[in-house]
Amino acid sequence: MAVTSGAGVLKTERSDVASTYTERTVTELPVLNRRFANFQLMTLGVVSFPTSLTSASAENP
Amino acid sequence: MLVNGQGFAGTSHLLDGTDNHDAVLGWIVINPTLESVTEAKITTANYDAEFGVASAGVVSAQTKSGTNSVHGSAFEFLRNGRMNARNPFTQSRPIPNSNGRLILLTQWNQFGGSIGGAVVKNKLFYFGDYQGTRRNTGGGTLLRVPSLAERAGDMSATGINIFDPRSGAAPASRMPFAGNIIPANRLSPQTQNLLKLIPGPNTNAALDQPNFASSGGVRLNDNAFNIRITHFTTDKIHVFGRYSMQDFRMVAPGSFGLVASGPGLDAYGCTNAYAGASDSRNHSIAGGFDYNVRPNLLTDFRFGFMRYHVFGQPDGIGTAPVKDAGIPGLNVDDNFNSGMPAFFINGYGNNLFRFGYALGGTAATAR
Repeated sequence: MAVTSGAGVLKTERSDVASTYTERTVTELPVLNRRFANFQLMTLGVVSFPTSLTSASAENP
Repeated sequence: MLVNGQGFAGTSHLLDGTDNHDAVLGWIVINPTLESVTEAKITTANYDAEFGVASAGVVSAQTKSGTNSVHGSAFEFLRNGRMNARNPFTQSRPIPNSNGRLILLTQWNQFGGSIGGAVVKNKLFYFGDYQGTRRNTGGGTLLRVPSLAERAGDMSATGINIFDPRSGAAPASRMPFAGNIIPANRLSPQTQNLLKLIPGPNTNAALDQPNFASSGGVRLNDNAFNIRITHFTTDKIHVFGRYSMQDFRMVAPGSFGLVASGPGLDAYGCTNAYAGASDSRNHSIAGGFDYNVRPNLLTDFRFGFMRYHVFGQPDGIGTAPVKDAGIPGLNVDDNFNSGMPAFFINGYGNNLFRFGYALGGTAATAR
């Protein structure tokens, strides 16, 4: 195995805290109920609704 | 989804860089199909200045574009009730007219496909996808309804003295009804009429336990599609247009039938679920133009339009049960003031009766 050294991955051009899901992630990862919104659960700081608070679920489940 | 502990409305949703976030409910308008998404970015803090209308996070998704060669997909996902376990508390007796079935017919069927390709190689591309959902999920609920004796005024089973308000001016000087039975001529005829709409107990239960079990299925039919055209006008100019539509038809039964309605039956056992029909059709259009002025100078223009339209029709809409029962001032029209009002009977310590759930119809549109 090759050992390499280089600059650490440090984002200097912008300050946002974000996760990006690539096409491969979206295509290949299983997702609960096949709902796109549930991908957000992989992001730090995101939790699912309590079921008692599924506001507007009848309109857009 | 709750980002950073904030309310769901604090999360902004973007689709192809245009707003996909309903301004009234704070909800995602087009929940993109998995087939149509190529990339998504979820920003939870310090989002870029180009974003806004968000106190919690920004969810930005991009739709797929066609490619030079034709690519497509087809899928079918199925879940059904044969794999479900029985709820021993609400599914202990066969469902009427079901050949002895204990578990509700549950069906969750999702199917669709996508196709993308080039109209003109290296220039003009198309992509489209369709997703259909046919879902029927069972739900059950346990409630307390007044017993037949209680409806007739016999409160002796409660073990609590019922005082006659006409027997003395001050509460301290009032006398209990004989045997804790309220005489029939003292019962309100209006209340008696309304109570006729509420089914009687169907299980034997202790005084402080639910005595009415009800189950049913919530049906959801959903059709969604996206169409996207991408044009590589020159090496420096790219143009795209997309149209998305999602259509939902949901019907949830109430515990007490169509007129009295009662709490809706949903798969989560939620006791204040919506009972009735809820139809919505959401549209989203996006157009984009980007121009590469110099390798280090890009410009980008986006246009977006969305429509979020919900049409809710609670059970009992158009009926006048309260007016028929003899209570004036309610059910004065066939729409917003029709149906059973919400009313509650408090008693038995902390237990709460809940009847008649929804009043009137609603329609909401946000542009």
